[in-house]
Amino acid sequence: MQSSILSVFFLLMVAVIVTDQEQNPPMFCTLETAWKSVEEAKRIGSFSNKDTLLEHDLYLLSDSLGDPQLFYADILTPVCIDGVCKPVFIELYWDLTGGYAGYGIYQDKPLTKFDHDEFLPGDYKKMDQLLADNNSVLRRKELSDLFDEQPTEVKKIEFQGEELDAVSGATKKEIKESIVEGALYSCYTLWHLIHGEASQKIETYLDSIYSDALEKRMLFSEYGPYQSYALKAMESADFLTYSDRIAAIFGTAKPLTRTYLLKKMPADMLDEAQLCRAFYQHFTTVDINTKTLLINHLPQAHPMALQLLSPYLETMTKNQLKTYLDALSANGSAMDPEIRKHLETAAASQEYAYGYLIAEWLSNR
Amino acid sequence: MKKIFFVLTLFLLSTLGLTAQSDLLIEAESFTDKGGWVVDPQFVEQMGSPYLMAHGMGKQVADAKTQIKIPKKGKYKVWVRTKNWAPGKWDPPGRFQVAINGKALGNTLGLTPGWGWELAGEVKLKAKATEIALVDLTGFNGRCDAVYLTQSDQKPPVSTEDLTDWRKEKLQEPIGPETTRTFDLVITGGGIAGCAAAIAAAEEGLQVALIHDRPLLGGNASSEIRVHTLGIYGKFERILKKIDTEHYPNGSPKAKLDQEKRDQNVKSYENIHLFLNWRAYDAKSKDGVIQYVDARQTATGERIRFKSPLFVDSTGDGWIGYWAGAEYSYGRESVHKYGEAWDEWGELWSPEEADNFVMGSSILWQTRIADLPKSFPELPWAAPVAQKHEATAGEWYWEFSRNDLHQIHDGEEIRDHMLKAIYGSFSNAKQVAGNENYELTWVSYLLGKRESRRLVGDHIFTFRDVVEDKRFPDSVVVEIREIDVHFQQNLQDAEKPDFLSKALFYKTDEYYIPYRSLYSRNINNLFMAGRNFSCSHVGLGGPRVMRTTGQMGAAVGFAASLCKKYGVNPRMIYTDHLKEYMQLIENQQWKNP
Repeated sequence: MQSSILSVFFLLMVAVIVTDQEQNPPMFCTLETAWKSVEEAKRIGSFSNKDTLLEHDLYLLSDSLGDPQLFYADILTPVCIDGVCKPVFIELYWDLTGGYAGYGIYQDKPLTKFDHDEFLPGDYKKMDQLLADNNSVLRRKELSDLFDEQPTEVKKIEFQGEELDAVSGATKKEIKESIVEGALYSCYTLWHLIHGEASQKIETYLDSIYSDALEKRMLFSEYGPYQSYALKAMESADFLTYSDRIAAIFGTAKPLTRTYLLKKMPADMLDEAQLCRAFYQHFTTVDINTKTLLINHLPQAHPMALQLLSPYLETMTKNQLKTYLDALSANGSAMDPEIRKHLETAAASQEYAYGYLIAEWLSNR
Repeated sequence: MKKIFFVLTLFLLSTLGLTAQSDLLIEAESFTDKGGWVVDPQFVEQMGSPYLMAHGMGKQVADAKTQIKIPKKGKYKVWVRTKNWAPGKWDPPGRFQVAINGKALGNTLGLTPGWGWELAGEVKLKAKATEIALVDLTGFNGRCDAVYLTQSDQKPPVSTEDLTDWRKEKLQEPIGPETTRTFDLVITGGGIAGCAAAIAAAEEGLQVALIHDRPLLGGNASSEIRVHTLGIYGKFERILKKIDTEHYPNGSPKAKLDQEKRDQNVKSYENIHLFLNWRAYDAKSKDGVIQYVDARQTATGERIRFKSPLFVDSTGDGWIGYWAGAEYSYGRESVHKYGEAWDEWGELWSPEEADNFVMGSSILWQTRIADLPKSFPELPWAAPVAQKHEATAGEWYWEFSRNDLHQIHDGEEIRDHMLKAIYGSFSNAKQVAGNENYELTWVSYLLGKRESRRLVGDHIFTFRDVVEDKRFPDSVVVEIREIDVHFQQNLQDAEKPDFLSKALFYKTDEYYIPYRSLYSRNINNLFMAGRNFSCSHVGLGGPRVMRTTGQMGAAVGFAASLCKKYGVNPRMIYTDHLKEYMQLIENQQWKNP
């Protein structure tokens, strides 16, 4: 009964709020420029909350050219504990891939904790961080897991005369650290609204509107999730067409994207001198797993890569160094004097753990 | 003692004038009094031998000592095989000295990167009983593989191959083990899977050898590693309750209680012949049949050849299968190989292109809050790993994997990396006001591995078996726990420490593992149980936890009993005796404790 009353109330609110969204900027938005460019909203469907069973409308927000920018829902949902409910008003934003993009509140309807205290600025920020974490501990928890204050499965066991709680505290600690204290119910509800059915519907919708133009837009976007999406959607042969852009992404992307990109790119792509430099010049700044893949690619890369890496031998791990030396052996041509100089320096270094491997390698030549 | 015996034989030969100069090789792990040093047998396959390590968590450990007899007086060079495990522009953390008859030799040891020989000093010795001691200077994991006394000017060999031959020569080892023992079933690896297999087979009347390279049973669940056992009991509650753990926090000292329970229970079976502190080092097969497994006592070097019609590989790393020529896999398969995609997580779950970036190994640790402030040093050698991370407690997500590291071949580097992470993060935390009374009480030095080699069986268990809810005629293991696959946090955020992981959980209903995943496809008398069972990388994600691996062990133990009854190999239990086998397993539920 309560749910249905809330639903009606909610529907009335949506009409008001959607037309009002320009006046109500989101409190947090990772795609602020996209939000500012929004000119129109189109309802593309609805999604439900598995705990309240309420349906919420889902909108695609586009700019004046009709290019999709964000997905949006205006939410009024009850947050309940022990049969007592309170309404939460919030605007939710997703990026085009269904990832969390931000949220906004209405000035006269602040988020509150269960004791009715209003959120403090730090609480809003923490809520943003929680919603941004798609692998939050809340993901695998049912409401009942979280709110059962007297778990029946708790066993007490004794050790050295002390009675101890037999349930691992790790999960409890993880939950406590990730949520806004005193607002577990709101956190749980909103996290599942962002990462639940809505996100899946957006992914499906994106598939239906995905085009070469959108792919290009995403590839050239500065937003990491769009770059990743485009790279994954592209055929590896297309990497050559956009090689400069891909090299640029390589320089700035997070490790997961970098390693994906290096594994997917055609093996001979690094054989071209300019591209080779474009990738290997980042050696000193990329993460260690990417470094490994760059070193593993040496046999296919332009020989200049051996030289580009030679000043940095002393940053290599043992196995990276072994692979580098193998590539150097396989290179066949006479060793570049500069490479030899760097090898000798690293071999003699008192601070490099694996200098002895270089010394051994040099002595066998 | 055997090794010293053989070396003394060499001395007798030398005193008869057969060699001009005397020398003496003493394996450190054979020291009679190990003091506070621990025997570390984890990396024998990589560096050649068990070794002694001064694992004092920053407090100097008591000297390790042994008596040797010098048969010929003279001046001896004393060489020590050791390594600097954290080289860099700081004092090496694992420094120690050698003392002869209570007098320390001049040189500090543990200074050179990579395993090699360092000169402890020169000493004049009389032809009589002499005490040799290792004197720890730091408490931070100095390590000594062997001590070599020689009158020659020649340095002992360095390369692994030369060293192996040289060792055999110096220790006068015969080619094969001195003793052969025969059993109905030989199980290598005394983790939860191996223990369960031993109990099941023993209850059915088999004479079982259980070979384990540690003094305590339980593997990752032992009080030496302290991971709690997860998963359900399936049909084997009665057996698994004898060896599992409570659900205490990982790393808890309460693991000692379960250790007592487990050791007592396994030892209560008269027909389980326990070989604790024995590490297998070889297995030979002929025409697809394993003939024997050879094992060595980790301290004395004594060797035994174990013969049996049936073998279980529950080593975790799949060593028996590997040596015997069993097919195996390692690494993450391409997502396309078995169709194991979970689109939401893409590469983190299963990569488009196969790679070796498997789940990592953990080192658990414990602290306590003491009544008085406790000091802990700043550790420049740990800083490059720990960086600014501060911690006063560990958990399962202290886990290390990197795409250039192999969880078996690079095990020592992985363990040492975790030690730096722990000591460094704790040292950072100790600089913070409020943490003055924290004290390290326990840091494991044994790697808690999640994933390594997986031996290939007639069925390869994969994520699809879970998603498609497959039920098999030979479903012997049942589980309800989520499939969880780990990845390193620094893949998503380069700023995160490289020794912390995250888990992805795929919720599932009951799923089943068939018996055909528990014996080798090409080695006819080899079972496997534990993380080296036949599965894919993602397939391992769920059933790698220890009640599930315990179910595998029990299933294998019962299968072995029918193999004996009918004189058949493991595959024939599936092809010819499945009904009886499944009934035997079904009956386990109704047996009284």
